[in-house]
Amino acid sequence: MDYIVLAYSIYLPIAVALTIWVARTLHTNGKVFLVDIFHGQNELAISVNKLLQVGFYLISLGFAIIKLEINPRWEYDQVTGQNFQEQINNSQSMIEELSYKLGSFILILGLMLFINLFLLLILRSGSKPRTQTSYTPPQNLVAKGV
Amino acid sequence: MNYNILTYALYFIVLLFVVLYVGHTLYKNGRPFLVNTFSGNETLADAVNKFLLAGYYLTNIGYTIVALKIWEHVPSPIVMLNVLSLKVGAIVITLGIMHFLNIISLVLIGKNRKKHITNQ
Repeated sequence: MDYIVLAYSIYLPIAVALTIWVARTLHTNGKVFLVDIFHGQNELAISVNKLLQVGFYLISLGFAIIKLEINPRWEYDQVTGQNFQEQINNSQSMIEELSYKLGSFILILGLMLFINLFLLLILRSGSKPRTQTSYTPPQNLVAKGV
Repeated sequence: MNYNILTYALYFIVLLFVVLYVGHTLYKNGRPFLVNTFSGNETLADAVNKFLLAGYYLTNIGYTIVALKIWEHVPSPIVMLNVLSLKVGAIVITLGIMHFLNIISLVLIGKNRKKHITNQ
């Protein structure tokens, strides 16, 4: 069994499952913010939420697949004075390589989640004042026939 | 038996348990603070709380998994215990420091809000 193929087949399902979980969290909890941001227009909020979810899936799955490749590192051997490529030929080196890949992917997912949260909070606080003041169109424009 | 793999398994299980426990505690006890911050808007506070919990899990578990890699060769059970205690201890201390920073920032936010309200 090739250990690199084994590492790929462990990495991909975990990455996909995590992406689905994070996207679901964003979808269910982002709705509250979006309804506030769009001043209670439920349909618009739901469709924007769906679009955001699809975008999130595309970006994070694409990133997971791009980062899939495992390249054995080049290291310097001080005894022979030559560079050599570290081989992934036992389960220990596979676990180490896999942990680095998966861990960095999970960290980036977490970062994306926090960025999303801050964006939603900023957008919500930016859209707040308009809910309290109702807009009345100037009357004289109608009288002038504009 | 390769001791390195055993060490990795123990490390991951212990830290997963710690992270899940701390996250659950923060989730339960942080809710009143958030409700207070969003001036009684409970649905919004719950949504933010869930966001924060998911982000906490992802960043902490991600960091523990990334930190797994930097390890020397483990020849015997005694070395395993030494290395394991050092690694797990370091990450648990980091968690504790983050926890206190969180509490301090919550208290500061509360004070700020109070000042804001009395100024008005």
